[in-house]
Amino acid sequence: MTIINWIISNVLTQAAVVIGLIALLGLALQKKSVGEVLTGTFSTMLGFLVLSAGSAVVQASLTYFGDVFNFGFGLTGTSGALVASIEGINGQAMNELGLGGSIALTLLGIFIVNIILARVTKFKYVFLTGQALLWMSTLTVVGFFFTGLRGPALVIAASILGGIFATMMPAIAQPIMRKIMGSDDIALGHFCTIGYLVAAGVSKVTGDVDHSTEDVKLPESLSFLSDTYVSVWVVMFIFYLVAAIAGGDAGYQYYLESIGSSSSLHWLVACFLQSLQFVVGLYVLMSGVRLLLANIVPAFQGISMKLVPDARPALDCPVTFAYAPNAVIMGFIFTTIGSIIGMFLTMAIPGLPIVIPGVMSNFFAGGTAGVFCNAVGGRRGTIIGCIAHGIFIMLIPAILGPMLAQVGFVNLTVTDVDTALAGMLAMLPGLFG
Amino acid sequence: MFRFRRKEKAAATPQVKEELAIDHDALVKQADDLLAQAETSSADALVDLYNRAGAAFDAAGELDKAIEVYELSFENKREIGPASKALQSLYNKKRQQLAKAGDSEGAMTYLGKMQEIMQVAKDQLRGK
Repeated sequence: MTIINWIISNVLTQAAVVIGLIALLGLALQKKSVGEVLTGTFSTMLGFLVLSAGSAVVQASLTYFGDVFNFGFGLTGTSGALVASIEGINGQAMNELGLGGSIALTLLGIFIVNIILARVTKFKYVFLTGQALLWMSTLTVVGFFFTGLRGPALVIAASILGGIFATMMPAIAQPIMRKIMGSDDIALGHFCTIGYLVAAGVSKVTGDVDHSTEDVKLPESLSFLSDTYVSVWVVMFIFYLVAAIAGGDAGYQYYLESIGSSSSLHWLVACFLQSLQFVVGLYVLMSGVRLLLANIVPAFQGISMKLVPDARPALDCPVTFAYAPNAVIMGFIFTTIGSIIGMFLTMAIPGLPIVIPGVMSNFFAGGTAGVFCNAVGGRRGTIIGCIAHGIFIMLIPAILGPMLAQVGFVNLTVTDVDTALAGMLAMLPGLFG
Repeated sequence: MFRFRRKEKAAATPQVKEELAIDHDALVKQADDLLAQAETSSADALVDLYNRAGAAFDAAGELDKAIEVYELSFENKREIGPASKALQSLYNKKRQQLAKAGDSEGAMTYLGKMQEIMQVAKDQLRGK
């Protein structure tokens, strides 16, 4: 009993160790050499610790932003501004909220449930996008944690819900994927599918499929997005500046008091440095995520191909980009316009927090929505459908925001709508129970 | 009546096989002719010739040759286009074949190649 208690408190509750054990299992099942197993396990554990370090930096910056914004605009608690960042949600959940171990086990559990469903049902889709699975495992764990589940029950429930989403989201996107790709052999593994289908629905009703986005002359690329982190910083600095100007020096002093600190730095310089800090934290966090998944995801992919060789691989959203590159650019532009409209809507609707849109989410999710819209509604449908998409992907995270704040998230909400909806479904028993 | 139908079916099969073989041979010859033209063509025309040859090999069911030729096209013009789209689909077919044959390492190699193509699409659209 003492040994079991020791294992539980020193192994199974330590997220870095749990994640390392999952990587070790995956590498061992692939019959890697002892050296590769040890190196892979160590680098996975290191990835988790890097992620945690990045999350702490992001959270410190968001504390500044939330305090100054709320002070400047006279807002309180859950009606304040939330930054839409699924990466930040994952970082806080794994680190500050202590859910890392449960999230790691759920990541494994979602993979197992997906494989089982692909084997026994007609929905032969294997979800292979590692980061998306990590975001889904985060939200299902957070949702059931809100409901009151703990321990094995939490992991099992989250795994089943996440596994169902991992199997069914590619399935419901497949009719349009067939139109896009002209074949049925590749599926979409990106947890923004419900948003794409909403956008496509609007596009189909309002558009004209005979006039494609690809017939229009557009710039070949969005070169300002060539450096991800510069793009994110530009957007975040604008919002940080708005908050800083609204709060002024008094807002900055209010923030310093709340963290028990003092500084002689000018409030505008502090704003600039804090916006940089957010991006630095995000960079470190994402480096940790990539390191963490680098050994786990290939293991998942290899095992899934052995167990369900005839399943369609559900791949990340760039798999669609080659089929309608103009639609990707238009999708980004009009989803961004829609998300700005959505942001103003969140300001206007009572009870909703204000949501700050995410640049990279708008590129990937918006771009893919553009491809979906063009497939069913041409360029007119792409414009109208993607504006609707932008509004949709702001309202759903806004609705979830207060519940996330109750769990303990600071100034953050999600981006990917499928994960948001999975989180909401998991929270339902807690809302009515 | 059924025996009559069975005879018709039996008679049709060798003919269908012969027609398919002629189609296959014609397509392979077409692809080889295009590759021969590619050896002496200008840089501008090269990619188009490779793409047409790849499409002919693909239609003939020659998966490995189609991949080889489309890869030549992609090397010459590393961007979103007919070659990248075709390679994505062909790599997936190859991945599936190897997975079903139990060669998971080979299947993973082709999954990696698909992910490389996706990365090129991402980078191009972001101006990298």
